Amino acid sequence: MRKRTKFTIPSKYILAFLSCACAGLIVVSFLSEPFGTFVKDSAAKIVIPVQKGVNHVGLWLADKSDTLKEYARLQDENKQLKEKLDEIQAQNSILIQQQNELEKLRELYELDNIYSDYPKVAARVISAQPDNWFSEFTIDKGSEDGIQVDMNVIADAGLVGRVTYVGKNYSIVTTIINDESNVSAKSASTSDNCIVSGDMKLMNEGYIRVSNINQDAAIKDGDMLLTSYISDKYLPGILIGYITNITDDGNKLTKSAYLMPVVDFSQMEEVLVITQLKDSIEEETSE
Amino acid sequence: MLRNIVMALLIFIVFIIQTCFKQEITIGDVAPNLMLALICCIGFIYGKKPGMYCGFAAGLLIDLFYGYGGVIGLTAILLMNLGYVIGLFNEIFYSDDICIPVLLIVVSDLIYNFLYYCITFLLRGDLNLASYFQIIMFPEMIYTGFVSVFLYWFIKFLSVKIEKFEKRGEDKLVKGNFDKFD
Repeated sequence: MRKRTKFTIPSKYILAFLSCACAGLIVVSFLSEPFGTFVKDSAAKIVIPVQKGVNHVGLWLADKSDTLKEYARLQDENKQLKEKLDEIQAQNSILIQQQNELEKLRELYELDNIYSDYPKVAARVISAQPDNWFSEFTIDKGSEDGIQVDMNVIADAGLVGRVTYVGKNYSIVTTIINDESNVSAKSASTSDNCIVSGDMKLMNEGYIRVSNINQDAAIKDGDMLLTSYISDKYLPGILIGYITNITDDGNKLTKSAYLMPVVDFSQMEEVLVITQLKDSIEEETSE
Repeated sequence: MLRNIVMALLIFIVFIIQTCFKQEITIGDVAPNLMLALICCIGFIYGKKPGMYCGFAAGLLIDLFYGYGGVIGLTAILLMNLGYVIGLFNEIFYSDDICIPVLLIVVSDLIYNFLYYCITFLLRGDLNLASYFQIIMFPEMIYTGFVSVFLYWFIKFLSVKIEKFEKRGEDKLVKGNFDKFD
């Protein structure tokens, strides 16, 4: 027989209680950062290793599937070489791995040459923001690796964004296409200043909005935009993208335009974090 | 006990899929909201209490890593209330029919995204609701609805298996739900 006399709290009271608890959490985590950091770090101890592991498994599987394709081709073409196949397969997988590594290292090296002034750390992208409203992602380096909040992140020779939260073994990067991001930029050829701000609507078309260009500025379609010296978070001279579609604003004072970023934000595997902060440069120059 | 462990594991796995494989599951710049679909499925199959607890846990997990502006509790409060409300439908409908849960998931995805928009965009003075509906809410709604068909089948299949496992050894052949028809 079922026990019906057991006392249970009606679930609507539990709901109300938990809702209040959530509201309390929102207030507490909004007001005190150490509390949030403590809770986040304890959760990260479990989740981040799993995310890293899943990433490794994904890469491993991709590697294996490449090898299998190669294997099938060889089997069709060289039936008489079946005895040698294992050997070839083993060699092949190593070669594919090395080839990928070589290409990636070459890319990173090329990047290095462009921004050789700044010290950098390479990091792997391990996960992304779960919803479609914002554009943030997690990298596998944290405060243990010397990452700090507001460090700039670059990839494919262009600006990706900056670090907005640092955990022990991970950090969260907010990209420049994120709706709340603003970057102060200047044209490489004419040094006109403008503001590059992420926009939800344009993000899907692959553009970022550029505003506050002076009406008299000689800026034209196809000009390179770099981060400017004015910005207090971004280091100067990092390529952001190419300007296009310049239009006059109604107020006869400013122009606005679209910017095509050099970074492909939908396909990011590895990024470089510049371990120098804008503040430290300013301190050096003032001393 | 077993079902609690399975549910916790499901939440964790869906979170990992949603975050680690977001690039792979994204079609046309829109990824489905798997976590929301999972919470709705749990709420619809198991009732309001499990739906509420799972929504709370899942929301908290998302908030800890990707909370809006570093704030913890926002997604938790949304998903928890969602799980509770969907759980209310458990008492009204049979969980064998696939149409109603999918419809509920589609509607709740729309409501969830609307509330999310209100909190994160509208409060900053961004009034482009129409265009956001066009580029995010509507595609995500359709995609989530499509994925939820398979997800619901899977969760339902799991729940039947778990029930069989838990009832093993007992001589009960009739489910508690059928008591009232006797």
